[in-house]
Amino acid sequence: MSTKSLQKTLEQKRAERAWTCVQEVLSQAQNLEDPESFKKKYNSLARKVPMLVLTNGLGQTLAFLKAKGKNDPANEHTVLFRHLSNWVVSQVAPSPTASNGDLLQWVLENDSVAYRRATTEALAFLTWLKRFAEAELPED
Amino acid sequence: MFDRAAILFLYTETPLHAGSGTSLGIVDLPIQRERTTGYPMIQASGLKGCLRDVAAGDTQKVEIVFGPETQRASDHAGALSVGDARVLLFPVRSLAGVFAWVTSQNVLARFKREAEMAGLQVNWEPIGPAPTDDGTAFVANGSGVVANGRVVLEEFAFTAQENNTVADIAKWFQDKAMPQGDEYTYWRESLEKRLVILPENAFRDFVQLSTEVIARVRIDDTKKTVERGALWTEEHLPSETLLYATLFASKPRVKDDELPDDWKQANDRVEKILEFVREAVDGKRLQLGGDATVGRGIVKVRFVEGQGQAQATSGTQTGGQP
Repeated sequence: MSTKSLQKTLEQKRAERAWTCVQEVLSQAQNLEDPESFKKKYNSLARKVPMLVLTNGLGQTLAFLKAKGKNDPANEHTVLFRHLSNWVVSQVAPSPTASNGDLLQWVLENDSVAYRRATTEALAFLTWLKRFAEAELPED
Repeated sequence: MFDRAAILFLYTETPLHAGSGTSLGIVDLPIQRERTTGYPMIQASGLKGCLRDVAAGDTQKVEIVFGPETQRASDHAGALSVGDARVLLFPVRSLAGVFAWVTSQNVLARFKREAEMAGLQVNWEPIGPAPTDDGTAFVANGSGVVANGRVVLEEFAFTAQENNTVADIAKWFQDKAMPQGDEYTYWRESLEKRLVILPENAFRDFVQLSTEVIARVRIDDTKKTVERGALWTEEHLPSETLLYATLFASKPRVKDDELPDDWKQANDRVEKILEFVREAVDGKRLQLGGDATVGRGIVKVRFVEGQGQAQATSGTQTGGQP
């Protein structure tokens, strides 16, 4: 890996993870009663979330996802929270065990500089997640 | 080369959308930005078109200043060179004082360089938190945006550090850059209390993430609901943003007998070029960028001429195309 393409490599990693997340939605949907509805809901949410972060802030958006998801592992809000949280924590937290990998908790525990870094990373990742969701998942 | 220069200050009174076309990002219609810094800007071509439009009237003079119409564009070049409009002060929501005007050392240093090139006297040095310090913001003594020793912008907090130079910079902007006129007294006077010099990374993040994003829809005529797929988002520079652009003037590039009579007799024809632009735009409200019919892009213009010769021409000319 040459140092010249470091920036590109990071974008590729984000893309790779976003792709994996969308594939996970497809396979998780198969085990649900109404697979089509789950896929549609995730797609619609993935398209909405980047704008939520931009207009309301990352903390507010994470809290919204958590509140709507109600810890139900089959709820699209919970799934997207986990996807976003895992990636951003892996990028901005010093150790993978920081705040148990929960981005909302990590954001609350850290300072403003860390929060801003998490916000830009979240937006960069969500751009890919939105695009792959549009490509792979059915629309309402 | 150029003989005289001026700085054009542009103060946005309504959100301004100088669009860059389509995007693959979050916002459907983003604004123009500088490639390296990511700061918002308005390309010179758009600004020049707008200036030409407001200066319309005396066709002969317009052609000398801005160049001939497209069909005869190769006849001669215009005598005025317009630069890109760059951001100087950017408004950001603040916990105390409603909003703050943020800038950074990097922006100030670049502005000072260009202002001096245009012959303006700048009596302050650009300052800002050290590049390694991402958590401090510089404010003037008695700043109105500080609460409990902190500046909270959007949802990000900075440690406030009072610095005397901030007031000097604010005063300079009050006198030289902000629009003149009574309706701007309040804004000029509140500048010192609102000015915040941010760490460069923080400034970059704010101008990227805190622009105004406006959702637009198209309504289906019969159903009176949103047409399928007809929802899009547009990015705007917020109102109360201060931008600046450099203007350089050279001698008219036409033969003497093609000049209007009053310009023929003038000793300093370059001065006439800038005077023409000043009269056309100084103190006026112009409309820049897209969405004119929904009230966007109203800017108040201030034209400040440099003293003496522009530095770009100091020394002997070594030829080359202007």
